[in-house]
Amino acid sequence: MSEEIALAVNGLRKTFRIGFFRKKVVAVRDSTFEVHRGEVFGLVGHNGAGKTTTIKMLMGLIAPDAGTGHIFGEPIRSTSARNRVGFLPETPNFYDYLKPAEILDYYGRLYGMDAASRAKRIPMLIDRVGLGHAVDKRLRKFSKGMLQRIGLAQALLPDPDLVLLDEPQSGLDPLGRKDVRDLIIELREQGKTVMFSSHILHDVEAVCDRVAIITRGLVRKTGPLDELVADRPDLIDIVVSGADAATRDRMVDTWSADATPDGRMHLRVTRDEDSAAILRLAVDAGLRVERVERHRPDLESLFVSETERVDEGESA
Amino acid sequence: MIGHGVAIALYTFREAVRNKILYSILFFAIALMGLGLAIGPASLDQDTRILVDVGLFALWFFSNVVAIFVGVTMVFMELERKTVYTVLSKPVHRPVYFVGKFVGVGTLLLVQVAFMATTLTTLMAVRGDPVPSALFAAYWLILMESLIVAAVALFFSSFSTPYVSGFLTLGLWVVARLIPELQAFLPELVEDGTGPVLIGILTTVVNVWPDMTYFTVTTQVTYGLGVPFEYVWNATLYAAGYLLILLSTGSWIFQRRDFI
Repeated sequence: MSEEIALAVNGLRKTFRIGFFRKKVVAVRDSTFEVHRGEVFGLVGHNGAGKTTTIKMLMGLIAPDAGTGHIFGEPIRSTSARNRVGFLPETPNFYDYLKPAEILDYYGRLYGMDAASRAKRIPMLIDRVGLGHAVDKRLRKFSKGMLQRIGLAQALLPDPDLVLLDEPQSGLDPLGRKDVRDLIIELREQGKTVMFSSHILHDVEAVCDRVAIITRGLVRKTGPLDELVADRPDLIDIVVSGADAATRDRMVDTWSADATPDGRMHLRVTRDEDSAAILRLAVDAGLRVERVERHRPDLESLFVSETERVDEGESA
Repeated sequence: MIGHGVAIALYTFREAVRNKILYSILFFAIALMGLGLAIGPASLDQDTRILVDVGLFALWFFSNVVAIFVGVTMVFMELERKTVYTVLSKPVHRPVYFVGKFVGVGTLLLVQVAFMATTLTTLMAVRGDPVPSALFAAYWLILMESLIVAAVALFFSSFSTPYVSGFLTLGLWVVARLIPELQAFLPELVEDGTGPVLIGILTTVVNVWPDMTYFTVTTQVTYGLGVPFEYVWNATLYAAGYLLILLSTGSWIFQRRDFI
């Protein structure tokens, strides 16, 4: 396997048996994608789509029922595959009674780092994630955001070639989310490979070179965002106000308009004839047209349409 | 691999030793020894015997309580609080993690037994009582018993909840202390024509369960009978055998589980 491929996942599948009657629940049906060396890769899906299960299979925490995965050519089930990986689990937790430097020292030992490397990297990382003020605090006194930061520090501890982050912005305030975005960009600039899962599409869009969309345990689309949306029509957003009940109903029935509490109607269409019809209706009904905007489709529109397509397919 | 095991054991110990519940348990143990000292004068020149009896009971009882408590909660808490994700996602073999946890708990038990043993020995020395060498054999054997109990607790917690693990460990411990009685009772049951299933179960229990009374030498200590080195050595090997079986099986189960 080429060293250019940091992570190769092929047909991973996992079914859990839950409850007293051991009911089968398919968590991941087919997870197939590749992460290239040096890129930032986003695994996008709604809650319960199979992102975390996929990542846990990659980290050896869950055994797949089928499929293969390789990290820098090493099978995911081998412990040596994890030598070059830093991993941040979703909403991480740590040992209550330890301090930041102690927990990082522990993880450093588990990575096989020598005392000199630990002594050099631990204070640097504590500062890097903004926890310099909390070195004497035990971790049980840490807020969720601070735990997330210590989680990031432990993921970066061995200076890994591949950084795997499961919902890294979860629990962070806007400033913390920006810090994570900056960190991911900084890692890319250092030549690291980063894969992270998220359902915060704006963050994914801001930093990812390529994305995979996973819905109901199946990776539906993979590729650079521009390519994924290239064959999709532009979106036309129209906002009107002053509609009476009958006009509002017509807009909802015909174009799935969204009404806001202040009485405005938001419409999103892709065809020019639809936008023309909406504007005609607005003029005829004496509505106030507040905004008409045409823009390229974004990750959110792609994600929503993929999810709707799957929902329609499964309910048909 | 050894480095991983040492790190896991060290930090398991470090985390456990900072838990205030353990200090409460230790306080009760020392208080019970103090009680032995206080009620001694009420006996007819048997105060040394009472101090040793009560002291060794406190040491034995509270060591095993800690073994069950820490053994049951240690791995479970890692799973419940998901701290295990950040450990097992490192290049760590799962059996090393499992055995490392046991070594950490074992170190805690060693320190606890050493502390209580020092307290009891000091009390005796201050009172001017003779300190027999058999007393140290008793300390060592109590440690062996609590290590087996901790290994049983860890074994159960590798696949079940703390309540179930605690209940099963406690049950096994109680049965393990009744092995001589069961052994004596079996021939009578056979004579009385008890069903073969019950006889089979009891025979298996008697032959497979560890006989924990093997680790109790309080009578020898209080009556100054002495405990031969050979006995202590054999009891240690007996404990080591059970530890090997429990840790191997626990590691095997742990290796196969998913961390959802």
